[in-house]
Amino acid sequence: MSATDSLPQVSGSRRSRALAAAECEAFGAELDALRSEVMASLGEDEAKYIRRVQAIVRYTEVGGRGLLFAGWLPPAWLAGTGLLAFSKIVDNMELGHNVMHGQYDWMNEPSLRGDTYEWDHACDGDAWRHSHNYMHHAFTNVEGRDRDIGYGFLRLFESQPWHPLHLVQAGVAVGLAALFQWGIALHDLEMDSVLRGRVPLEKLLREARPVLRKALRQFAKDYVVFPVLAGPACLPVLAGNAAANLTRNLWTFGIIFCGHFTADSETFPDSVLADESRGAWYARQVRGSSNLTGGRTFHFLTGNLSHQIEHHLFPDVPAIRYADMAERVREICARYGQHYNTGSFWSQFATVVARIVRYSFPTWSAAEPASAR
Amino acid sequence: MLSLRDATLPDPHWIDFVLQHIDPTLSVTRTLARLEAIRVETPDMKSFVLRPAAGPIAFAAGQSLPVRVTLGGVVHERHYSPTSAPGDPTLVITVKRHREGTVSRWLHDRAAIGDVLELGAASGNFTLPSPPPARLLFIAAGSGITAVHAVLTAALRARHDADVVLLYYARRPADLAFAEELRGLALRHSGLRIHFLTQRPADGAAAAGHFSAAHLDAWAVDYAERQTFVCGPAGLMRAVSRHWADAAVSERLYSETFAPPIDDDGAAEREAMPVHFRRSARTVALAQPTLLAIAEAAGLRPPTGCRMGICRTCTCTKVSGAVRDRITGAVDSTAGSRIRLCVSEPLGPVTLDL
Repeated sequence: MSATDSLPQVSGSRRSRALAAAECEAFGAELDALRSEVMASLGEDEAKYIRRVQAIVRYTEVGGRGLLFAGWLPPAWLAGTGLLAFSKIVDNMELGHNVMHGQYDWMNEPSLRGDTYEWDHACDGDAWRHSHNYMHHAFTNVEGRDRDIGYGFLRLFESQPWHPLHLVQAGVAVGLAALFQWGIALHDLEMDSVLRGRVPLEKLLREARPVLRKALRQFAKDYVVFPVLAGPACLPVLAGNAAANLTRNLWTFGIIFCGHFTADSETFPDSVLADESRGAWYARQVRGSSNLTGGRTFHFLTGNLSHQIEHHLFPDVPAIRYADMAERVREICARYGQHYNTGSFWSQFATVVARIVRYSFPTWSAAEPASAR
Repeated sequence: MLSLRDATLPDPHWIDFVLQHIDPTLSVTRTLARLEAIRVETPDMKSFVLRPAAGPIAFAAGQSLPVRVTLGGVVHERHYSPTSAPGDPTLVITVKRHREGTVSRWLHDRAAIGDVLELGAASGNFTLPSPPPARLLFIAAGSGITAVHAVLTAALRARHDADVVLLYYARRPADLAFAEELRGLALRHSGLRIHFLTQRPADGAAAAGHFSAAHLDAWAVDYAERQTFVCGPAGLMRAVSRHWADAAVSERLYSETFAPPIDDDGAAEREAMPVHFRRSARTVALAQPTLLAIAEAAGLRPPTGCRMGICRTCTCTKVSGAVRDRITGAVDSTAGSRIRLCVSEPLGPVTLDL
C-alpha cells in the first residue's frame, strides 16, 4: 500500500486503491451531491410508501396472531407463524431500523420520528440508537470503537487478539443467531467491557433498567399476554410466537453479518478518526460494507440492508431509494478505484462463515493478508 | 418501574390505527378536527370552521394553536389564533393567503369540506389579564386582526361596559375582516369605538397612512392609561413598541408577532461558525441565521413546528458552545442546555445532539 494512503487499514482485503487528499475530497463531493439530489426529491411517494409498509406490518401481525388462535389446526399454525414472522421481519428491518435512522424525519410526522420510534424487538429504541446509529454508523469498522465487530466476543478479523474461547465461537455464533434479538438488546450494555473491568458496574446497572423494561415488555407480549388471551390455543400460540421470533432472528443475523464481515470487508485503526475528511469517511463506509444482490422481494425483506454500502453512505436517506442510488454509487466507486463489494446472499454468507471458522484459530502468519479468498 | 401493567399496555399508535378504520377523526394520540365550512372574509382572508372530534379545545381568547396538515408527504404546522369564542363546539381559524405560504395557499385553494386537520395545544400570553381591564386599546393590521378580534370580543364579554378603542389598519376597505361584525358590536356596546384606517379609502377620503402619534392624539390620547394589545406586521409592531417605550409605558403593551425572527440583519456580515452535529458525526460552517437553517442546509431534518420560537418542537440539547436567542437576545453558554434551534444563532463553535 502506498505511503500516501489516506485510509490505513488494519485488516481485510486490499482491493481498493489509495486516494490522494484532493481525490478523496472530489469523491466525497460527488457522493454529497448524489445525497442532496435524492433528499430534494423526497415527497408524496416515499411518504405513502412508508405508511403502506406500516399498514402491512400491522395487518400481517393481526392476521398472523389471529390465525395462531386457531393454531391446533396445522395449516393455520403454519400460516399464522409465517405471517407473524413476516410481520416482525418487516417491522424490524424496512420499518423500524430505517425509521429509527431518521430516514423519514423529513415528513415531520411524530409517529415516524427516528428519535422516539419503538419497534417490535427486545432491544430498547434508545439503546439501539446509541449502539447502532452512533457507535456503529459513525465509527464503522474502526477497531476498538465499532462494537459491532464481533459484538464483543466473536473474532472476525486477524487484527483482533485470539483467545482460547474463540475455538468454540462457531457454536457461539449459532446460539447468537437463534437469540439475536436478545443479543442486540444486551449489546449496548457492553457487558464484555464490564467483565474486563473497563466499564464500571454502576453504569451497567443504571443503563440496564430501560433495556430490561423493554425486554420484559417483549417477553410478556409473545410469551404471556397472547398465549393467555388464546385460552385453549395457548400452546400453539406460544410455539408459533417462539418460531416467528426464531425465524426473524436467523434472518436478521444472516443479513446483518453479511453487511460487514464478508471476505472483502476491511477494518481500520482508531487513528483514521483524527481529522477524517468527509471523503475519507465515505471511503471507509464503502470499504467496510458489503452488498447482497437479489430481486425486489429479497431487498424488501432485508429492509434494503442488502444495499449496505448505500445505507452506510446515506443512513438517513429513505432505504427505498437505495436501489436507484446503487447504480450511481457503483459508477462513482469504479471511477475512484474503490472496490464495490457485492454478491449473492449465499456466496457472501459463505465467506462470513469462513471468517467465523478461520479466526476461531490463532493466526500464525501475520505477513499473509487476511482474506478468505 | 418494572411492572406487568407497563409491559402489557397496548401501544397508542396501534389503537389509533384501529380507530382510523372506524372514523378518520378518531385518535387517542392527537386532536383531529373535520373541516365543516369555509367563509370568505376578505379577498385574501378566509375563515375555516373546524369541529374537533373530542369536543371543544381548551384555549384562552388571544392564544394561538398549531394546525397541522400533511402536504406532499410532509406534515406542516402553523399557529393560528382562533376567532371563535372558547367553549364553542366549533373552532374557527381565519387565515390570510400568503403568495408563498405553503399552508395558507393549501387552505385557501385546495382544502375541502370534510378534510381532517390536526390541532395542537394552545399557548401564548396575548390574553386578557384578570380582572379584565376597564379601558383598552387595540391596534391591528393584516392577519393581526385575528388575535385582536379574539381578545376584543372576550373583553366585551367579560365587561359589557368596557371602554374600548380599536385602530384597524388595512390597504383597502375590502381588506377589512370582520368589519360588519365589529360594527354590530359597536351598536350593542356604547363603549366600543372603531376606527378603520385604510390606505386607499373607497369614498375618495384622504389615506390614513401608517400608524403614527397623530392617530393616538386623535382617537386614543389617553393611550398610556389603557391596556393595549397590538398585533400585525413587523413594521407596525416596531413603531408601536418604540412609541410605548418612549412614553415609558411598555409594561401596559401586549404584543403578538406572527413573523419569523429572521428579517433585519443581512447575511453579508454574518460569520460562519463551525457547528458539530454529534449524532450525525458531521461538522459544517455555514453562514445561515439560525441553527435550524444551518442543520437543514447541512441536510439534517430535525423536527420543526412554527419556526418562530413558539412551539418548542425543534428543541434540542446543545452539548456545548454559546448561542444567542434571536428573540430575547439572551446568550446561553451552558453545556447541556435545551435550546430552540429556530431562534438560536451560534456565537462560536457549537455542538448539538443531533
